[in-house]
Amino acid sequence: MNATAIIEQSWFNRFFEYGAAQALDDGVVIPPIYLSVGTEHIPPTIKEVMHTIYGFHSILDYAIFPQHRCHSYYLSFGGSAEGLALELCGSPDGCNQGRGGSASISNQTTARFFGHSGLLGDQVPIGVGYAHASGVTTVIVMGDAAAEEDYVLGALGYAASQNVPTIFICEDNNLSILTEKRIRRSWSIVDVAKSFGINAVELDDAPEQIYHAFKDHAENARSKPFLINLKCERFLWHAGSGQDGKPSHDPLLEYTLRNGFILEDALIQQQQETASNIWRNVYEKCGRNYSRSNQATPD
Amino acid sequence: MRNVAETIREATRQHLIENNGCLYAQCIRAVGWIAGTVPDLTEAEGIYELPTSDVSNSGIACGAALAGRRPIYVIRYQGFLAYNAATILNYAAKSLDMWDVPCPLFVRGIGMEGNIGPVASGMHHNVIARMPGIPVFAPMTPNEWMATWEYFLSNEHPVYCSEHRRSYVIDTELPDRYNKNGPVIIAIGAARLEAEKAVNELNAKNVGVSLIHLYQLKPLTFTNAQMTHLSGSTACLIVDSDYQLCGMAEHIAYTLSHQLTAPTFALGLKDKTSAFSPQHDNLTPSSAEIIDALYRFDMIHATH
Repeated sequence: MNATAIIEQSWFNRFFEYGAAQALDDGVVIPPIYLSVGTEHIPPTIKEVMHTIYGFHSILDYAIFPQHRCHSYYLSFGGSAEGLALELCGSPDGCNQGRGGSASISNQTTARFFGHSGLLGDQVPIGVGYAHASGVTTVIVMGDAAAEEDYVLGALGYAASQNVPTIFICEDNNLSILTEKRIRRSWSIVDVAKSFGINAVELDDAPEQIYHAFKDHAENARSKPFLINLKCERFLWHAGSGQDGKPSHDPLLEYTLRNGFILEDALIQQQQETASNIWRNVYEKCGRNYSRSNQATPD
Repeated sequence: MRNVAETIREATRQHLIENNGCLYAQCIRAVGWIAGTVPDLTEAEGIYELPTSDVSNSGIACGAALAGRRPIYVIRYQGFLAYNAATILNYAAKSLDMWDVPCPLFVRGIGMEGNIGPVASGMHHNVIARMPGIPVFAPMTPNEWMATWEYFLSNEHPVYCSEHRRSYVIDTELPDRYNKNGPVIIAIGAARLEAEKAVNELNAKNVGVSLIHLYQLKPLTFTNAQMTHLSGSTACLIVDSDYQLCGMAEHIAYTLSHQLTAPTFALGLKDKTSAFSPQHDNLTPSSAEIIDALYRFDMIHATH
């Protein structure tokens, strides 16, 4: 497991997202925007899994169906950071010419990364159909609220019945906007998936846990569906740049420290610099001034 | 000549065998291979049975379209669009506009009517037609179905094919029928068969009424010959097997009202629920109802 690569990409994702938050506050980015701060280490970990455990050589060898809050997936799986930044500004030079915004971005150039319509959870049956018809291993990302959509359950059943090569990632931040899971349902998506015959596990979102869960599934990788429910935390609002309170912990920072890095390391500083440069360019393209005070800085 | 059911079946067979195409539907093999419209092929050859999960099923078919298989997705009663349309309209129809990613899905919605209750009854192309990004056809003859299919194969959009079970036995074409200087009926779906009867009855009484058969509903297109004839008409009635209110019939009447000097009218299913018993049903306007409408709208006169 290449911890350095995960840490490097994750910190870039975080600095990019804080830059987007600042750009939103500066009126450069157009709302609504769904930021992935707090979960930006998950996609680089999944990417690492796809290459080391699933044995894929290229991002183009598998498909990804995300939904909103997908910036870190887009960035981690080969998307252009400047293209995304411009997209968030509604620019015709954005990765989807300003049509995708924050929630509906696509990258068919350097990845098989499919856009999301906005119908929560519809990426699950669509991703299952894609994998079924093509035989291409497909990563499908949802949240704990999307998992409640009836058509998600139908799609899980079809994936199980047909042994469709799918990986379901449920980023479970316990919130549907601000409504907690316990208020919405009494059941667990892991139990539901298991009842369909799908190998399913619930984990904290530490990269090591994710990696080992996939390793345990390695024998059936590419031939059977797999679901992991990742208990994670959304640091910022459902939409926008606000923050209701301090997160209980920071899995990216903890993982970074566990692997012997500190925030002052050049590896991390370089990510901040790169993200800042991207946003500086985008501010300039949008005819706005960028100063150090605009620089992306996590709390 | 093949009838419509045979035409669909053989086009599907060719698509699956020669084009790596596929077909998704529920209960395919159990009851007559969907009225004989699906070839007796295996799953390995691309016939995929789906569970009774209408909402997710259409998503699965959309995914197959993204994978380049150009799937055929069969909805056995058009009324079930209430579930099935979600992903067709919100993903397949929008994918090309949003991301330049084609999602070419051929949706066969099958209409039938008569004693089958509030959901299964009728044609429901109106629900689809209002959303951008998805052309809509309602073929009733073998050549029309093939033209619809070829449109799908040569374009990148999903296509909604609004079928009616009454068409499956039809093995001839239904050409337009022109009478000079009189009213014109434009008929859609199964209403075309009733319009044929109405025109036969009226022409037999020397009441000159023309009939235009329309199967390409969106984008709405009339041939030059049809437009020339419509321009010289005295009035125009659009008849449909879908609901009249907020539907294709009213839409076309409105559109033509800006292009013709003659008045235009619409007739379709009534604004009421189709219940099971005949006295409570809500069917395609019959030939008698079409003739009655022609009189009621003063398009023809009792003196005839």
